[in-house]
Amino acid sequence: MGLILILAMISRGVDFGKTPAGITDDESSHGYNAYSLLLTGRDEYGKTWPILNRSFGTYSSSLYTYMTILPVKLFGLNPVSIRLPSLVSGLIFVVLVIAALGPAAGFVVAISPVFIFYSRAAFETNLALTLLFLGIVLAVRAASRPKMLPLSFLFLSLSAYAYQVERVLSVILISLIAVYYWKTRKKIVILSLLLALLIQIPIMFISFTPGANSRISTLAGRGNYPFLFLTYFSPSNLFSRPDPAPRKSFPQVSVFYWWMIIPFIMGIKKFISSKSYKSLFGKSLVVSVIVSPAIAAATPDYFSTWRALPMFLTLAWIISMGLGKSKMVYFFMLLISSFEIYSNLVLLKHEGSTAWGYQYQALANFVRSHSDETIVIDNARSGPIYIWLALYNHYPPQKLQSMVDTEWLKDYYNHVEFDLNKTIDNVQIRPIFWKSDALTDQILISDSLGISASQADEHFLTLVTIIPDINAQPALYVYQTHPALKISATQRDSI
Amino acid sequence: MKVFGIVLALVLTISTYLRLLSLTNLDIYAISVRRSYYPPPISRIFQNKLTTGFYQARTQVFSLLSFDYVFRTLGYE
Repeated sequence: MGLILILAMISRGVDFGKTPAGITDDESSHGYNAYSLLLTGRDEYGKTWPILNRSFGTYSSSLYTYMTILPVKLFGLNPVSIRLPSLVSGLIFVVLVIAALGPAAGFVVAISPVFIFYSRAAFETNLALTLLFLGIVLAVRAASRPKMLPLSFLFLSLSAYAYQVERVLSVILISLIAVYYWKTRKKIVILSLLLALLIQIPIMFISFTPGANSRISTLAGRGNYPFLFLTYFSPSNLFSRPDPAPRKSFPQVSVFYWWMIIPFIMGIKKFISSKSYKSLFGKSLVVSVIVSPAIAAATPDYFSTWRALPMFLTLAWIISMGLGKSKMVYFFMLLISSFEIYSNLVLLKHEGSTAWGYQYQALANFVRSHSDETIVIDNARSGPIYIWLALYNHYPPQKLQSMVDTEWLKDYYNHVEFDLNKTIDNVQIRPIFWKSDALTDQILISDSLGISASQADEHFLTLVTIIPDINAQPALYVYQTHPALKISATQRDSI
Repeated sequence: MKVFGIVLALVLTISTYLRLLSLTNLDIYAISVRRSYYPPPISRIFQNKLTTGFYQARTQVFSLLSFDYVFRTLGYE
């Protein structure tokens, strides 16, 4: 167990906080809201300890944000603190898998790209998976120690607060486990169900509000369901193609390494012949392998690994069954995967830096050092830039909260609208309007599509600096306007 | 199942060899760019014609194991 855990720690912990380079808007939201809750007891909008986090017009699960508060308090507001809950839950997950499914399964989980990737960044789905699996493990232990059953239902219910898929999956698993123990342990099952109900009541109530359902209602039923469901079982998607979303996998690497298809096929045979699916573990994991893609397929996204994460545990278990007992097999797997993991980390760091918002830290530094000048940041092709600036510059949460009026807060869970444009102190985050912006003395910041070289010449802009990506390629251009030159040129042209 | 492993290895080896003969200038350029991400002494281990050819071969072979074909045949895209 020790060796596998060390392997998991190395694969997940090397260059932690720096690979992936940068931090996404969703991670920034977790981090800044944790910072805001720590300092004020309210989120960035001023809501006291929300059940669901309002994250750019959608409502995401709040547990990850709450888990980030302690690391932020201990280590400050930085990528390591924000990603630490995911790393810790990823390592706990490996320990649980070794304890429950054996060292072979633990080994497969420790080296599989999908579990390494989701443990290296702030993904709620990773935390939810660990809570869900802990609930399943405790439910199995309840066969010999009945007192474990309430604990099992506690963790299963908590997983519903960690990620949307678990809101459905946890209820199904609780029902399955309750039915399994009903005849032999009726009293403790009723007690555990009451506990689960008590924990789930707040999120159930909130789930009926339009805001909480906004994500589901915008995504559900927009794709070809049978096609999308089957993509989760396609060998090509599981062993060769990466997740189509650039921020959801290592470049060019799939859920599992390509060569794992061989033990997977051998494992299916053993899984069926050993009747592993008949135990409570087997039943729970089979439910996960059907329900999580069934939920994920309700969205129009093609093969979204983060939504279907629970099913990959079952597949890892099947792969481990096909490995056999030869130490040479494990040695070669370790050797090959070590090479692959190293290469994946290098490529992720360098090829994913722009997608992971690496450039926004330098942007935040620039904004901080130019607090006396008006700055316009073009947001025509980018996400909510304000959250990166707030995160990196440790913007006082009280100031952001003061932009929201109290009437709006009363209806916190019903605001699906979101305006990407924001003005914070001297910084305006909005698209550039050339007619007026070129005639105002200010700094304009955009990528090469927002301000081309010919536009810079046409509007008499001078280049102040270039903000590069991690490969020293230009990511953002910073220009100073010269209204006097522009006005005189306009007058000359009109004459 | 061992037969499956041997067949897969053979198909990938032959396919990689064929791919190696048809790498484009763009592929060669991509290799040189990616090499710059690694420390110089070991960059050639991870980014070379063989690894690129193998990646392309793998993608092609595994695309035959995709369910997409079934759906395309049924008229879905």
